[in-house]
Amino acid sequence: MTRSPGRLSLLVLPVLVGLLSQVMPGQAQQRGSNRFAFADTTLLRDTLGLDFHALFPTADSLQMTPDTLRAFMVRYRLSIPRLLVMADSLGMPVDSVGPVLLRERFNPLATAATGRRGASTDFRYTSGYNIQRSSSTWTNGSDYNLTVGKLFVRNGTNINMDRYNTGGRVSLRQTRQSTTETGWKLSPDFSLGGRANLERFDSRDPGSTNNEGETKNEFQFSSRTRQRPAKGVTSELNLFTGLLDLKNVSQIKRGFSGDLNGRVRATRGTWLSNDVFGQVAGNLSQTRRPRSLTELSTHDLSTNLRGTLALYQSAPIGMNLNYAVRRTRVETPTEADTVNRIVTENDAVDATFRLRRDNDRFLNLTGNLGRSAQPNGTRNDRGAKAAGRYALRDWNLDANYSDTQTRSRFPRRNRAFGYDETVQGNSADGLLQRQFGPKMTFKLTSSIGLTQYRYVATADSASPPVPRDSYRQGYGSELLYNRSERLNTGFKLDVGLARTINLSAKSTSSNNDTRSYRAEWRWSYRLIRGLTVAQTNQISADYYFYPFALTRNQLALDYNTITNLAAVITPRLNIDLSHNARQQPRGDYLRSGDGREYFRRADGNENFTLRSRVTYSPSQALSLSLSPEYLASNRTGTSNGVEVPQRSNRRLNFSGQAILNLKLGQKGQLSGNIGRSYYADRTITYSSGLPQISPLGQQDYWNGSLQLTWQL
Amino acid sequence: MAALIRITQRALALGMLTLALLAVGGCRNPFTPADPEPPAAGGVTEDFRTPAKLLDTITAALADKGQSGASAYINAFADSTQASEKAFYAFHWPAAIDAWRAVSLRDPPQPWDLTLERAFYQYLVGYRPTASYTLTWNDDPTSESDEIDLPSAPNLAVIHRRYTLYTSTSETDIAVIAIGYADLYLYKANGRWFIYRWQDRIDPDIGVNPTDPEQLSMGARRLEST
Repeated sequence: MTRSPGRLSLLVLPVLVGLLSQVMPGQAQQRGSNRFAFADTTLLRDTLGLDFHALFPTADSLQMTPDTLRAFMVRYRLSIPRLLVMADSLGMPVDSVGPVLLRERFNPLATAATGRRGASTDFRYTSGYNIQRSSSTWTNGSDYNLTVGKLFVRNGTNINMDRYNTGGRVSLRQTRQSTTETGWKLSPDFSLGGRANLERFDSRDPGSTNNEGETKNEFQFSSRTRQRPAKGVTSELNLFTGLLDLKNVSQIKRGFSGDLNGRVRATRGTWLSNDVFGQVAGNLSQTRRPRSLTELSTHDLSTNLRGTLALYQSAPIGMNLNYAVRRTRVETPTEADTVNRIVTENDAVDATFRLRRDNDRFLNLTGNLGRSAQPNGTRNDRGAKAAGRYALRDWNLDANYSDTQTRSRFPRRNRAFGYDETVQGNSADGLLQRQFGPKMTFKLTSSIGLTQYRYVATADSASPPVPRDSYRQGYGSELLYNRSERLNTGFKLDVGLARTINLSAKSTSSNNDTRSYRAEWRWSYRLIRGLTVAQTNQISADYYFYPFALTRNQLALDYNTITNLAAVITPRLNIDLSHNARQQPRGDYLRSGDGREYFRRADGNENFTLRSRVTYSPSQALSLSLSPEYLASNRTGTSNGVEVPQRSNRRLNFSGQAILNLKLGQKGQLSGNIGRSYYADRTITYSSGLPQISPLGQQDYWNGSLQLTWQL
Repeated sequence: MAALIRITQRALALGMLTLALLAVGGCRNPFTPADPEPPAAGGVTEDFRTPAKLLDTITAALADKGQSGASAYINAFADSTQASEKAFYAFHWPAAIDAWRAVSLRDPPQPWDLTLERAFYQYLVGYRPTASYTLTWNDDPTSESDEIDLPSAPNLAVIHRRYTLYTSTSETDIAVIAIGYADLYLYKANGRWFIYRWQDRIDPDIGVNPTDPEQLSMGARRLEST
C-alpha cells in the first residue's frame, strides 16, 4: 500500500471542479471565450466557400479536434451552422451527418420528384486523375437518378484504377462497383422494387502467380418502408433479398442472400432520445473451391444492434448511453472440402453522466465495457474517465483522469502466443489558465501516466513478452502576450520524464529514463502593411539515463531557429520566405579521476533550410505557385576519440504547380492541381577522413490531381 | 427549475465528496511503477542510436532467441503507447498475401501491428528450435539510395535492405528460411531510432512460390505465423 497525497491531488481536481460548479440550465450556444482569442486568425481563407470562423470553440464544445471538424466541413462542403443544424435535426453526432447524407441519396423515400408532371432527372459524372512519383489513380464515377411519378430508377457507379510502379515493374489494381435500383413508390412511406449490386476487383502483380480477382453479383428484391407508430417515434424497415453469385481465388459461392435492417428513433420532449439500428444479413449458399467439384452448404450470418440513448441532453444533468452488439459467422470451404467456420463477437457499452452549466463549466463521468472474441483470441475492456472544466472570471481549469484495463487472451497457435495479457493504464492531466487583461495569458500544465503490461503463460511452451511499465510525467508553463495585431509573442517551458521499465532480469539492462527540458520563444511582428516577420526559437535537452548500464548515459541537445517572412505584394501576389537553422549535438559522459562525470560530445547534426514560395492568383479559377528550396546538412561523428566529419549533403528542390478551380459552363467544374517537381542531390561521405563524393542524383516528375465534375 | 438546481448541487457535492474520500483515504497510488529486477548477465545489448546499429540489434536479437532477444527485437519497433509518436505497421507484398490467402482461405490480419510482431518473433525463433540464426542486411541495389535524417525530413529515415535469415545446426547444415527486400521507415525520438513501417517485398528472382519452399519473404513468414 503506497500513498502519495501529492499525486492523488490530481485525482481530486475533477472533484473540486464539480464542487465549485453552480449548475444552471444548459444553453445551446455559448458566448465566445477569451481562451480562443486569435484562434481563427491562424486559418487561411479557403476557396471552397466555407467560413472557418469559430472553428475552435465549436470543436471544443463538440469535444473533437479542430482539424477533424474542418475535415468534415471540407469533405461534405457544409458550413459549421449547417452541420450543427443537420446533426440536431437528424439526431446524430456531427461525424455521422456526411455518411447519412451519402446513404440517403439512394433512398427513394427520402426524396420526391420536383419536375413537371412529377418527373425529374439528375445525372452527375466525376472523373479524377491523381499522379505521383510511383503511382497513379484514375477514378470515374456517376450518379443517376430518374423519377417519373411513382417510378424511380437510381444508379451509382464507381471505377478505380490504380497503378503502382516499383522497381521498374507495374502493379495494377482495379475496383468497379455499380448499384442499380428501380421500383415503384406505392406511397410516400412504402416502395417496392429490385436492385442489382455488381462488384469487380482485379489485382495484377508482375511477380505473382496468384493474381487475384473477385466477381460478385447480387440481384435482389427491395422493399423500403417508413412508419410513424406514435408521436415522437419514427422508424424504417428495409428488406433486400435475392440471388448471390460470388467468385474469387478461394471460393465460388452461389445461393440466396438477404438483408433485413431497420432503425427506430424515439423522442419524448427534450428529455429523451433513443436511436436504435438493427440488421440481420446473411446467405444460404452452395460453395466450393475453384478447383474442387464438391459443393458444400454454407450459411453466413451477421447480426448487428447498436443504439444511443440520451437523457436530458440540454439539461444541467444528463446522460448518454451507447451500446452495440455484433455477431458474425462466415463459412468457407477448405482444401479438404470441409467447411471452415469463423465466428466473431463484439459487444460494447459506454455511459456518460454529464453535469453541465455551460461549455466552460462541466463535469463528465464516463464508464465503458467491451468484449470481443475472434478465432485468435478474446479481449475484454473496461474503463472509467472523468473530465471537467471550470472557468471563473479570468481563471480556467481543465482536468482529466482515466483508468483503463484491457485483458486479452491469446491462445497458443502456430508456435506463437499462448499467454494472457493485462494492460492497466492510468493517466491524469490538468491545465490551469489565467488571463491577465486582454493581452496576456498564462498557462500551467501537468500530466502523469502509467501503463503496466503483465503476462501469464497459458501454454507450456509459450514465451510471453517481458512484463514492463511505461511511466511519464510532465509539467509546463506558457506565457502569451498579444500586444496588438502587429505584435505578439510567447514563451514556453516544458519539463518531462519518461521511464521504460522492463521488470524481468533478462531485459532490465535496457531500462532507461529520459528527462527532457524544453524552452521556446516565438514572436510575430508586422513590419509594414503586407509584410510580417515571425520567428520561433527552440532549445531542448534530453538526458538519457540507464539505471543498470551507466556507461550508456547520454545527452542530446537541440537548438532550432525558424524565421518566416510573409509578404503580400498585391492581393494576387504573395511571397513567403522561410529559413531554418538547427544544430543537434549529442554525446555521452566521461568519468574523470575526481569521480565526476563530464559531457563528451560524440556526434552532431547541422541542418539549414532556405525555402520560398511565390503564389500568383490571376483569378479565382487559377493560382500558380513556385517553390524553390535549398537544404544543407552536415554530420559529424567520433573516430578514435576525435570528432570528424561523417557526411555532408546538399539538395535543391524546385517545384511549380497550377491550382485550378474552373467552372465549365453552368454544369461542369474542373478542380485540382498539376505540377512538376525536380530535385538534385549530392552527398559527400568521409571514410578515414577522405571525402567520397556521390554522383549527382536528380529526379524530375509530374504530380497532381485533377477532378472533372459534370452535372445534368 | 430552482429545485432541480438545488438537487443537482447536493447530488454533485455528495458524489464529489465520496470520490474525494475514496481518492485520498483509499487505494494505492495508481502512478507508482513496479520495481524491476537487477539485470542478469549476458543478453542482447540494445543500441538504437543509428539505423545501422538498430539493424545490428535486430540481428543480435534473432541470434539470441531468448527473452532478452525478444525484448530487444520488439524494442526496435515504434510503439505508440510509448514515448515514440508513431505506431509500427508491417505491410506485406500483395503477391505474398494472395498466395497465403489461396492456401489459408483467410484474410490476412489487418493491420500488422506490434502485437502480431511480438508473436512473430516467437514463431520465427521457434521455427528451427535447435538451430542458430544469423540475419544479414545488405544494400538493395534495385532501390533508391537511403534517406537518413535529411534536412527535408528531419528525424526520419527510409532505408532499403536485402535481408537473408540463415539457420545452421552445423557447419554444413545451413539453410535460408527468410529472404527478400524491405523498405524500412524509421523515426527518431528521444535520441534513438524506431522502425515504424516495414514494407516487405519479395525477391523477384526467387518469387512468391520459390523452388526451395523455405525461402519465403519475411512478409510471408509473418502471415504464416498467424
